[in-house]
Amino acid sequence: MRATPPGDAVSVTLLLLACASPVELEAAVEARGLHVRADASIEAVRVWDGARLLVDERLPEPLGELHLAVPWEAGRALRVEARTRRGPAEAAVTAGPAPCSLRAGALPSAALDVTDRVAALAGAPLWLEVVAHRAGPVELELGGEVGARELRVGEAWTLSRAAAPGDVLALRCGGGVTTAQIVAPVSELEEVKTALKLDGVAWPADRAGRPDPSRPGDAVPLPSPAWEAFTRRAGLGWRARDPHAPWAWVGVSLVWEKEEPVDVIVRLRMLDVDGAPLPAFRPQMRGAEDGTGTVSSLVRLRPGPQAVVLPVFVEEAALVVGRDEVVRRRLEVSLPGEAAPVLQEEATLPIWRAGSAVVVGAAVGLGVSVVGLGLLLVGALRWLPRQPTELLTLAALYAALLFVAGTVAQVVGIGVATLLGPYGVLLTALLDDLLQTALLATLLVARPAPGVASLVTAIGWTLRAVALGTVGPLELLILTMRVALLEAWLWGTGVSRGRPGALRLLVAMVGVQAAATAIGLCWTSLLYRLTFSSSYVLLLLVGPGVLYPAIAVLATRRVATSLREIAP
Amino acid sequence: MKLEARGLRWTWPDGTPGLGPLDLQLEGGALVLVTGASGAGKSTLLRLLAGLLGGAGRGGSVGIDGVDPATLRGAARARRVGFVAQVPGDQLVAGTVRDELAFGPEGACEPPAEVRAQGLTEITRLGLPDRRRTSALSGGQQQRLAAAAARACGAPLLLLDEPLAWLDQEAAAALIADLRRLADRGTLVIVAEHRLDALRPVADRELRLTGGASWTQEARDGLAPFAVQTGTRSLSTGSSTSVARREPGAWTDQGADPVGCGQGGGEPRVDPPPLGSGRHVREAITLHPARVTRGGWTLDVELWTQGATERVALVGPNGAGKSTLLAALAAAAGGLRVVRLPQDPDLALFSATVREEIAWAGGDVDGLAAQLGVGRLLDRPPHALSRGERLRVAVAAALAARPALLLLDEPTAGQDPEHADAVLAALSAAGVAVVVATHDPRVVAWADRTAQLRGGRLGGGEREAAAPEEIDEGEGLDPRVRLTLLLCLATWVMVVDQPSSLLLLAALAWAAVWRAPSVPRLPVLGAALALGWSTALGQALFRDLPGQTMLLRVGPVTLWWEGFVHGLVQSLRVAAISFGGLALVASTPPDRLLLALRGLGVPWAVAFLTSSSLRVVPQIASSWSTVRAAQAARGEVRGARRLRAELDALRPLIARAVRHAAVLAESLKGRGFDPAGRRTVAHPLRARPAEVALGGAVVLLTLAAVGARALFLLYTSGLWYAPALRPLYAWVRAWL
Repeated sequence: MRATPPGDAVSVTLLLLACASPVELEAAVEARGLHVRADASIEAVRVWDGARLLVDERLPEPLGELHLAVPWEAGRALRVEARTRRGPAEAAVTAGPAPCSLRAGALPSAALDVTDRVAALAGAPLWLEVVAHRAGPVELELGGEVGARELRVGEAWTLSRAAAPGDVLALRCGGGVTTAQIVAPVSELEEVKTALKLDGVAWPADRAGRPDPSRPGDAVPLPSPAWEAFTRRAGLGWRARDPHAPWAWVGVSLVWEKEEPVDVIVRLRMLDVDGAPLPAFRPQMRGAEDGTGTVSSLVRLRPGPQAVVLPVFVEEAALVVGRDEVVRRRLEVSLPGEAAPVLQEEATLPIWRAGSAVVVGAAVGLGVSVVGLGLLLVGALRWLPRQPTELLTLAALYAALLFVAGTVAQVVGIGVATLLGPYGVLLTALLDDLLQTALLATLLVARPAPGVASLVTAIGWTLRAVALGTVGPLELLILTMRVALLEAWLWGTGVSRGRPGALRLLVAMVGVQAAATAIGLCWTSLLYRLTFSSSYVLLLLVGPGVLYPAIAVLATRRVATSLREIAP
Repeated sequence: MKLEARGLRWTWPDGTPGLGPLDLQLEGGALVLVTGASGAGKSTLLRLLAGLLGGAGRGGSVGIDGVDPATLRGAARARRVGFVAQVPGDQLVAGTVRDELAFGPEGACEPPAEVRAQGLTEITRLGLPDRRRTSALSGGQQQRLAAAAARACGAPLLLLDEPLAWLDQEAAAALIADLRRLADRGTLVIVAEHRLDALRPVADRELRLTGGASWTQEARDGLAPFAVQTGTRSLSTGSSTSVARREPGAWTDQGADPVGCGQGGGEPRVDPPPLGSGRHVREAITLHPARVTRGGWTLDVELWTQGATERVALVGPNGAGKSTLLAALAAAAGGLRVVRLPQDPDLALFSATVREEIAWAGGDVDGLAAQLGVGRLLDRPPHALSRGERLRVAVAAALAARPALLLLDEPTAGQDPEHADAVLAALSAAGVAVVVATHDPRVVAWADRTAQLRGGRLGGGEREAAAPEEIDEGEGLDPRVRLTLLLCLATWVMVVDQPSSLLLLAALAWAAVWRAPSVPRLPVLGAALALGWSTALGQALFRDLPGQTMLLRVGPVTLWWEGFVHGLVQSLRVAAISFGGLALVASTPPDRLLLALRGLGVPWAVAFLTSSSLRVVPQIASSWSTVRAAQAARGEVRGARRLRAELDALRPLIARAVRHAAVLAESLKGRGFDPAGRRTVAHPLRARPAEVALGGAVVLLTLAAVGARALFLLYTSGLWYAPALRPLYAWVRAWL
């Protein structure tokens, strides 16, 4: 009996993993449209009313949930189609199953759906919003005072009333009644002020509120205006920013020192130097903005430290900050219903416009690549056939060594490096660059001539292309850039002119590697709209750019010298 | 044909005299033997005569029918002189027997039909399958093939540098018969060699170099002595070393008539183990390296805990599995300290100087160096030494590690008798159990016992040697079609985003890997899975997008489902491409790949270099593991020295590559290699119509996918939208 190949079982496992459970899509009717939610990120969504397409929206960044402004009529059956990362999904919803909904809070931005309790300070105004999902009369009662109104479908009725603990809030509509008790806030203002501490603000942060070290801290980095203008004029755009996706996250670390939990509102406002709100920093729900650009979050703090994560949105085109190029970040923590903040923090953040240096760097890199391409073409057609056989065989064998070393480094490095997040590149480069530079250095000492390093690099690249299929425009761009840099630095330092001294070699290899790293960073910044922190850039330039090639050259100095005696 | 040298001399770049001056005049139809101690200049003389050494270091003149061989290029050289180097494998330039024989004539633009006919004649004479991979041949077969290929263009002069060094007696006899036949047909054959017993009787003349410029000559009856030597210097061979030897009869009994391990060799050892003051304990260690595919070996090695130990000579024809058995013994040794010295001493030398090399594992550096005749070389880099010197340094370093068992692979190959004796004497003095794979009668005579290996079994005679399994599988899909499919796969992988579609691509590529020969499937799959899982987990940790679904939270660590899937997708992408490339390389001989690259418009020189690189990749991988094993056997390194040891592992690999490149270059020049020259193709690729149709269909599908993706991108970026293309958009969204 023939054994079943193990590959089949693994493939089936992978298949099951990749195509796991079907996507669950939920759609609910809201006052102003639909709330769509899925257990996988949604990439595109359509809403059909029978055969009529109401919404057809593609999301450049996937979202787990979104609000759609859909005009709907009560009783109509809507069909929602979504394309998610795990496949397509559908959901049906009939508009207006619940007659109405009620939200309450000290402020509109701090309003929550009413359940059984609503917190309010004695005498403080309570903001209420009733939205009708079915047309008809609505009656609202608070502390014995009753108000009534006839609402149409989707119509919102907002009102502000003074409330006191012990009052009862009741909503009657469509034959149903919703009631809630007005309760006093957990703590009084002064008590909260002593027990609540602001431990720090991480800008930008990850989703857990931890600082993101790879991006500039306490600054607003934006693409270069020149690049933006160029892409706009050229009609290009790489990964257009999703208006619903936050530009960054802000982590606010709070410490609550009392045993009883407390509800607080954390507000973030972005202001100009004169203290006026900057509309460019708008919250996610465009339709619900109040024009102040405030991002807020109502959270319940429990004893101990806790991070509150707020999204920040920046509409780059609308960001006009004047000559100072700074914005002020005002962070406030307050109790629901309290106008005065419990805690306040204000910081001035500079606007970092990725300047012309990045664009120029990328353009220079492109130019270098073009030169490298020319060198490669001329080399393959005219230079290569004139080279001695010894050099060609040496290049072929070295290319094989580079290929093996590179593959080993890739296999060993990637798996571990991926666990290190943004610092993973330091590990992969340590293995890959160290080995590759070490090998090239020994070759250059043995055969210090123009074209040698490029020949080996190009054959190694072809080898990877054939054996690993890694062939593409970006790979070609990097290869040609590297070829041009190698030839320029080796010629400039005299290494390829027959003077492969240790210092010259060190300068040349460090120069090549540092320049390649810098150009790579420029390309990444432009193409992927990423902005790196200075410390991260410095780390990359110092590590893979300078330190690794220096170590490689120094470590292989003696090997290289001894190899001169056996090189053909 | 007339070969003439006048005042021929060679000076090394540092000014050291290398050879000559000497005069020489030889004519075709003779087999000339060049002898002399290591360093006497045999190899230099041969390379000067072949025109492989030139430039400022050469003095005097050489003429082959009046033409200086150093001025010859390409096919013109291949038609005048052929050259065969010492190491059989390194000098082969093609992947299969028939391509090896056709390489030279193709470069000379000979008609393909003629090249094929000539090749067939040679293949029939050599008795080798024409499509067998050259790497699957035994050393003897490789050397005979190299000799045949070197004169495939009909060169009237054939020069061979120690061609018997790695050959068993049977293979050596076959090669010698070939050479004699060539000489009888009018070729001038010049052979530099240390193994003289078999060659001397058939040689017409012997040129004995005794130290750079001094030489004597002998001629067989009836032939006139040649030339007159001029010399000023004689090479000192140093002090002689005595070696305990067995009676000659013992070798005859065991070597000529193979017997089983431990059988028939019942003579007591010449050097009984010296007894210490305490109890004399004798232990027998039985090694069972049964897991090796050749399998079925059991070798007993007797060790004494005090004093000298047993010496076992492992003999057998080329390809019988001696080296494999040594590797298996090293692996099966368990807790026993075993040091294995590979055939190539480069792979056992990792240090910057000879002193550091011997001191790696401690021991008496000066004493061992002096014993092995490398005392004056202590401050030199080991890789810059001659092969014999490197080998002796490697033996010294191995002995310094004080192993319980030393496994040596051809430790006297290419050594002159005096230095070979020095090696054996040092081994005798070390008091260590030794298993030595050898073809050298001197070593067999020195050993206590002989183990005969034939057909992968100790004892021999029970079954015939298994035919090498690696037969050219190039008759499957046309390599150009395979290459095209790989490029299409790479394109698809870039175009596709859907996990299920990527999984399908990866599965297809894996199916190709599964069908490919000689791929370690489970390790490959294991590496792919490990990489995939770690990437997926890493992405699940760090990919940070709004609206993500939490997969798992453990304390402060949160895993996100979208990140996990994203990582899995990236891994599938890498796996699909890597599997495809691996399948192509594993199932396509490099020569066929070369033709495929040329067929796709890649310049000949680039295609040749790429295929040559690919051909040596498995050797490098194997060398790497040999080096690491050798390092480990010499002693574990920890802490800061660990990183240095890792970098040191590069040293032997680079040295090996450089030396291989030198041999390959000589071989290529001898075959008339010209990177710019035109060539014929004796065995062109022929794609069947069905293959062409398959390739064309896949290319069209790929172009269609790229086009669809481009249209979809235009649509999603808001640049262009066509209502009529909505089904296409839907298809791209669902499948790509």
